[in-house]
Amino acid sequence: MLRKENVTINHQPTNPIDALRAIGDVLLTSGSITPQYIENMVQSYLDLGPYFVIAPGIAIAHAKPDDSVLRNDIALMVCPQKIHFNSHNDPVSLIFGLCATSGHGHMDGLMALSELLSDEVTTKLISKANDIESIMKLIQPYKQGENV
Amino acid sequence: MKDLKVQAVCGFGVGSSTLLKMKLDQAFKKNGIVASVFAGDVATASSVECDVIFTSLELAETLNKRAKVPVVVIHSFVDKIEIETKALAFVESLK
Repeated sequence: MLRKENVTINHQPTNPIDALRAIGDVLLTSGSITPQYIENMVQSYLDLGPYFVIAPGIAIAHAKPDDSVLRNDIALMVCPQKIHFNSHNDPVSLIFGLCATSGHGHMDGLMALSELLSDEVTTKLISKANDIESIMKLIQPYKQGENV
Repeated sequence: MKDLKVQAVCGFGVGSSTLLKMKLDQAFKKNGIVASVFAGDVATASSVECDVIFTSLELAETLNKRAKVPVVVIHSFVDKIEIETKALAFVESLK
C-alpha cells in the first residue's frame, strides 16, 4: 500500500488546487505518473466537483486511468492547515493521491486503504501525527500481505 | 427475487467507487443478500444496466437527471453503518 517515501507532512497547501498539485507532485517524484496526470486531477475537480472528498476530513484525489499513469501507486499528504473543498465532508486533513493504469489494477491496495479509512481512531491519529515514522507505524497493521 | 445488480459510481470508476463497492459487498454479504456490486464512472453509469446506483452527493445531482434507476446518496464511503443502513433500506423498498 503506502510506501514511506510517498508520505508527506511538510506541504502546507492553502486551497484545493494547490493541494491537488502537491499530492500530484509526490506521485510524480515517485515516477508513477507524468505531469499530465496532475493536470487531469485538477481538471476533474473543476469539472466534477469535490466528490472525491469521500468521508469527513478525507479526500482521495485521482483522475482517470490513461497514458499519464506509469504504474499503480498511492500517496498521502497530511495537512495540519485543513483544506476546504466545498464538500459536506470539509475540512480535509488527509489527502490521498491515487493513480491506476486500469480500472482493476490496485484492488489489494484499495482494500487495505478502505479498512484503514474505516478506522476513525487511526485516521484521527494520522491527521495529528508530527512525523512520518509515526504515520507508518499507524498504517503498518493494515499493510500485511497487501501490495499496490 | 433475482440477484440485485448494484453500481457504485465515482468520477472514473477506479478510486472512490471501488472503496464504496467493497463496503457494499461487505454489507450485502453480512445480511445474506445476494448482489453483484460493480464500480462505474459518472459518464457511462446511467446507460449501464443495474437495479440501483450508489454514489456521492455531488455526482448524484448529475446522475438523478439521467438515471432510470434509484440513486442512493452515500455521504461517507468508509462509514460501514451508513452504507449498510442505506443498502438494507433499498432492499426493503423492493418488497
